[in-house]
Amino acid sequence: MYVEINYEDGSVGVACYEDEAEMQDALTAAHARAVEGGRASDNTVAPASRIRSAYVYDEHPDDYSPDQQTTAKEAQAAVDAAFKRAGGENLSVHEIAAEIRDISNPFLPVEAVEGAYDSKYKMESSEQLKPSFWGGE
Amino acid sequence: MAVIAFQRLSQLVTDYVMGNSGSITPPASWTLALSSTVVGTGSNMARGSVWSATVSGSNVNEIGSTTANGYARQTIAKTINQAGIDWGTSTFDSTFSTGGQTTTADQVTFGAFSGSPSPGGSTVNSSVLTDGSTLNAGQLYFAGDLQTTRSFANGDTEKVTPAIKAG
Repeated sequence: MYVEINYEDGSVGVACYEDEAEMQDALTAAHARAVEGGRASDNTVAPASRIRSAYVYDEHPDDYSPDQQTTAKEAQAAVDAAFKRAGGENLSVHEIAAEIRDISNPFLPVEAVEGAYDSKYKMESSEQLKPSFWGGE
Repeated sequence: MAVIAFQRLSQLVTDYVMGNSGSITPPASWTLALSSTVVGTGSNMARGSVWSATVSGSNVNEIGSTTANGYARQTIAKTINQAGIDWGTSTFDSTFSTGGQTTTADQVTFGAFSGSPSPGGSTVNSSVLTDGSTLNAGQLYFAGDLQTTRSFANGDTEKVTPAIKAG
């Protein structure tokens, strides 16, 4: 299983665990270290950061659209959105192409992420863990 | 610190940028991986290296392919200042011999680890820009040695900030 971990310092990472018990061990240890003022690892002087949110996925959330396929309807919607945002009749083909390429982007655009610790990925998570899972408040 | 640009990155310039290829194209997103292989000075990684679990020749070996213990590749979006983790505004260095255009990605965070990933978790030597989430698979784009060899234990996290200069 995969989990997207959002830390208090704004960093975000994805981790892979065999099962829930292993995931809880790792998240609890990482969070406790931050609460105690410890370091992120023995390799660094950087402080550990508290965990603020965690989202569980059945597969890596990077696998949102690995084959980069789309439908005519989805592509047309992207083209329409590009012209609407530009507010004119003519638009650079590269801006249109960028809008279509972004269909396969696994990340949400910044404006679509409401809270600082909300999920950053387009893929739907199977579960949002409660802070008590890792010893948080 | 040794760095290397792999063949696929060069091919993207020649075929995709120069030739508008529809088959040699960038991935949906980049991913950053950790490797036990040293970039070295020509005797370890090579321009034509490939990902492989087999430690042989110029193969690049990813950590955690047998036991992840929290290890997973980290996504870097193919955008500039538009997503949670993507590339920053690039800068230009006009120095004739060493200059070029540089871009730095947002910092990515590996872990939290639940122990030492196997294989390679006790001798992490380099970070590699690649694609996809399947370990020891996908294209290689560029890699750089870490400042020191890393190892991981339960509760550890590791932050890496990749940058590339094209020149």
